[in-house]
Parts: sequence; C-alpha cells; structure tokens
Amino acid sequence: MNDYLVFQLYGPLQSWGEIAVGQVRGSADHPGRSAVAGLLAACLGLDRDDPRCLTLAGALRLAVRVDRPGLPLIDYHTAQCPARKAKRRFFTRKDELGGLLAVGERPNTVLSDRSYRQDACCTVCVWLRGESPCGLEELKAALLRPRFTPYLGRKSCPPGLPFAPALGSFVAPEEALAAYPVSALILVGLKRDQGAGTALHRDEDGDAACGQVYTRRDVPVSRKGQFRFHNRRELALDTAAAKAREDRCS
Amino acid sequence: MSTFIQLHLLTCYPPSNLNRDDLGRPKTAIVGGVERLRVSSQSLKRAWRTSDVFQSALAGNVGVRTKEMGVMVHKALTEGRSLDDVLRDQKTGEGKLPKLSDAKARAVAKAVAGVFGALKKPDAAKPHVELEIEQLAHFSPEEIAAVFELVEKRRADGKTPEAQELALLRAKASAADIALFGRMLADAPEYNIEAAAQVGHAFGVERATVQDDFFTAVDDLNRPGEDSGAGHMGVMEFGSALFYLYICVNRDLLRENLGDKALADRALRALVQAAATVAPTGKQNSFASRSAASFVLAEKGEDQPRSLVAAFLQPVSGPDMLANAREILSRTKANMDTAYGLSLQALAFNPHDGEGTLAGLLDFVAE
Repeated sequence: MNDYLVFQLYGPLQSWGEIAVGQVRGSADHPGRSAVAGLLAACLGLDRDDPRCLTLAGALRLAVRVDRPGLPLIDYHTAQCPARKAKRRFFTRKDELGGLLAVGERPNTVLSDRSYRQDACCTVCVWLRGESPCGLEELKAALLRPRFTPYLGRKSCPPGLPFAPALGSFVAPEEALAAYPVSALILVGLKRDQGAGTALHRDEDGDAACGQVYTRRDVPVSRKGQFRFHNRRELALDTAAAKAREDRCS
Repeated sequence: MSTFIQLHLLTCYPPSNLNRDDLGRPKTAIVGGVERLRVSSQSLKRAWRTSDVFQSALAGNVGVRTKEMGVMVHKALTEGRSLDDVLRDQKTGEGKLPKLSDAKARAVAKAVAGVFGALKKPDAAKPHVELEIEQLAHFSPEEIAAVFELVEKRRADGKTPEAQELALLRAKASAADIALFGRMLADAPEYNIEAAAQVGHAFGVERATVQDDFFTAVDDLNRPGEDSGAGHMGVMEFGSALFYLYICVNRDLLRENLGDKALADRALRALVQAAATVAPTGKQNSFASRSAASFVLAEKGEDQPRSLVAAFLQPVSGPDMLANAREILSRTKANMDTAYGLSLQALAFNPHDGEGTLAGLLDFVAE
C-alpha cells in the first residue's frame, strides 16, 4: 500500500507546454511533471527560484487520467513593445504604447502561435519518492487554500472547478484514480465524447506494468539562465492512445 | 494562504470584431462542445492598462490633464513664482522667488515634461512649443506635489534634474501597473515581478455565429452606362455575444509587490473599474461597440479560486438571455460552494435592475 493524492484539473482553456523554440508554443493534452510540480509549488507559496521547487519536482511521481482530452486551439498572439533608445524610460504600459513615443513611431510587434487545449479535463494522482520538502497532507492543504494564484499551464487559464484533493492508501495509482469519480458537471457539460476517460499516463516507478513507453522532457533541473530539463519516461496504459501516438510519431 | 478577490462579469457586446486572428476573423473557442466568441485576456488587459479610466482611477483623486506642464515649470522658474501659483493662476505678476535664466529653466522644464510624454519638436516661431508634450498626460495630485518639490530644488541650484530624480516623479504609477500585470525581462530576471492579477479569456455564453459583412464603396464620379461597378469591395467578419469574464486578484501578493496598502487598494479599485467599464478598442470606428458590464459578481476569501465558467458549458438561450445568464451564474456558484464546502464573501452589482453601485463594488473589493 502506498499513499496517493488525487485531484481534478478542469478549465475551459489549458496549456501544457512542450519543447518550444521560437514562435510556435505547443501544448500536450495532459500535464507533465514540471507542470504539476509548478502548480503544487505555487499553492505552497514557493517562489519560482526557491530550490525546494526542484526538490519537489524530483520527488514527485505522477499518473494522469485524461477524462476529456479536449480539442487543440492555436491562439494568434501579438505583443507590442517599442524599440529601446538611450535616455528613454517607460513607466507604464500606456507610455510604451503611445505616451512616450515620438510622432509616427510605431512599437515593434512580436508574433507567436500559442497552443491550448479547450474543453479538456483530467484527474491527477501524485505520490512521493525520496527527499521532498513536504508531505502529501501538506500538499492537500495547499491545494485547498493556495498561497499564489493557481493556473492550468498559463496564467490566463484559471481552473473552472475546485481541485477537490483526496488523500488515500491504495495498492497502485490506477486504483487511486479509479476511486476518484469524474465530476458530474464535467460528465454532463463536456458531452462530446472523444474516446474519453480511458487514456492513462504514468511514471515508470520501478514496477513491471506494461504499456507504450515514451519520453517527455519535463523534469526541471535548473532555472538559472536557460531553463534545463531532463527526460522522463512515461507509460501510456491505453492501447488506443498509444496507437494514436505511434501513428502521429511515425 | 492568501486572500483572493474574484470577479465574474457579464458584458454584452453588439456586433463587433474586438479581437481577431491572423485572418481578421473574431477569435473563438469551443466551450462545452459549442463554438463561442472569445476575447483574449491579453487584449482585455491592454485595453484596460492604456485607458484613461485606469490611469485616473489609479491616481485616487482627480488630477490635472495637460500637455503644458513643461511650459508651467518654465514660467515658474523664469518669473520667480511658485509652480503652485502658476498652475492656479497664470496671469498674476512676477513673484518674489529667485529666477533662473531662460536656458536653465528650459532644461529643467524639458526634463520634467519628458517624463510624462514625448516632447514636441522645436519651432523657431513658437519658443514654448518644445516644452509641450504630444499627448495629454494625467498628473495625479501626488505627481504634481513631486514636481513642485523638484522645481524648488532646481530653482535653488540651477542644475538639470538627474534621471533618478525624474523616475521618482512617476514611481507609484509605474509600480502599480507592474504589480498588477507583472513584468518579465529575460535579460534581467532580478527585476521580474509576478502579476497579482489573473485574467481569463472572455467567452460568449451562447453559441457563436461569426457573420460576414460584404460591403462595397461607390466611386461617386462613376458614370452610369460607362462604368457602374463598385469602387471597392470587401468582406469583414463580425459577431455579437454576451461575454463571461473571470478575474482573480491575489490581494496579498499585490500588497507585497507594492509594499503600500493604500496604493494596493487604489490599484485594485482601478483594475475593477477599468474591467467593468473599458472595452477593447478593436474596430471601434466600424462598430462603436463600447460596452460596460451588465452584471458583476465579486467574491472575497481564502479558498482556492475557481472561475464559474461551468455555468455556461450549456449555451444560454431564451428570450431574456441576460437574466438567464445571471440566474445560472448565481445558481452555479451556490451549488459549487455547497458541493466543495467553499466559504466566500460575495457581492452582486446589477446595473441592469439598479441593484448596487459601482462605488459599492469598489469598496467591497478594497476593504
């Protein structure tokens, strides 16, 4: 038996960043380890550069049941910022977009394509291995009354339901997830059935469960300068989902 | 734990194209399996931050809007009068304070005015034009007091103000803007500040219908029989919806970012006032779709914040969409609070039925 903390993640828009370079910012259909560790660290009130964030991410083990994979959305995003000039300082956003610009000067524009999942919902099960800055009980309390504002991958993606964390002892994460029902509101509200509720992704945790294994680059190692991540092997325990992923990759 | 201020707004926009994608189509999203109009959080924040409403609400009291602060500073220094007197009454005769030479006074005036806006180009025929700024700038009472102080210092020593002194003139406006909306500098992470305000994308509560407006423009000098075609043809897409918008402000973080409770409360009021009254500026010349919120539900408490978007997973319909949406929103809140054991203080502002006031709402969020 092992202790597991299970909670739900629903919001109309979510964004679970994948490897992103330049203009295109992709999103997976379920959160990886850095995303869940970041969410928990925010609820605990750890600053981004607090070393305990990395300890937590190192100790965290994860299983995610994709209740509704949702649909992709690519948002065409423009951001404006004027050129830097000596002796010119902007005090507010209003200054940058007009007040302090010379007549006829236009701010520069940066474009990006930001991916989201819309209408998605998943249930997350976490457990701890090795040294951790806190226990599951503390994580549960932090999810109920967070210190920093929680969000689903991007700040503009607020949760649309409480996380409703539940703590319990089970033989395996699959059982912990099975004991946590999908919110009735989600079952009714997100009617569109997209082969939902069967895909389950989880950390390889030294056991011999078989499924499709793939690699995600989502174990944070350092935030200094360029962010660095290590690879993590994740098991997909659903044959349909694994097949789809295989097809996409080939 | 922190105190979160959550706002749920219902705002109705008539036919408009407030926020568009790379093809010029209004942005949309699927919610509850149904396509809805969408206005991105970024578009909303830009409109609020650059609005006069936000700027003057942030100032707390009514200030002065002028292009001519530089001219007034120059006048005060060359005529030996206090800036206060000059702003009150520009016609009074010369004062008894020390006077500065035109060149020195001009340098001070340009440095001060340049902090509030881009200076106009020099014009030999009008020597004072180069002291004016291009656009009207709002000077809060505190900023004016800081300018007074700086002017008297420079009257005493005749020097040109330094960059650091000038930055102090607008320190509070700058701090409040960044404390609410954050700042990220990739090359100087030590100056990064985490935004205290979270703004979701706004969604229509009903099914979206993006429509095409096929338009033609006539060439008035075309002669019938010779060339009777249109001078120009085009298509513009638009849509109309009642939008649900969710905002969450971490009040503790806002106070921490600012280190000043009074300023934090003012920033919070400014944000709420802007969110309730300022619309994105996209395509206003074609649609004039400016709208203020028709309903605002504010919540305050330490429980995990969550939006009430679940209320609208099922598209709202019926003859009175606004009343239905309001009703469903309130019911969803009650059900969710019971189901998950949330305890939040709440206040509704319903201008449609004359229930509550915007001032009451601002007091509720800031108290």
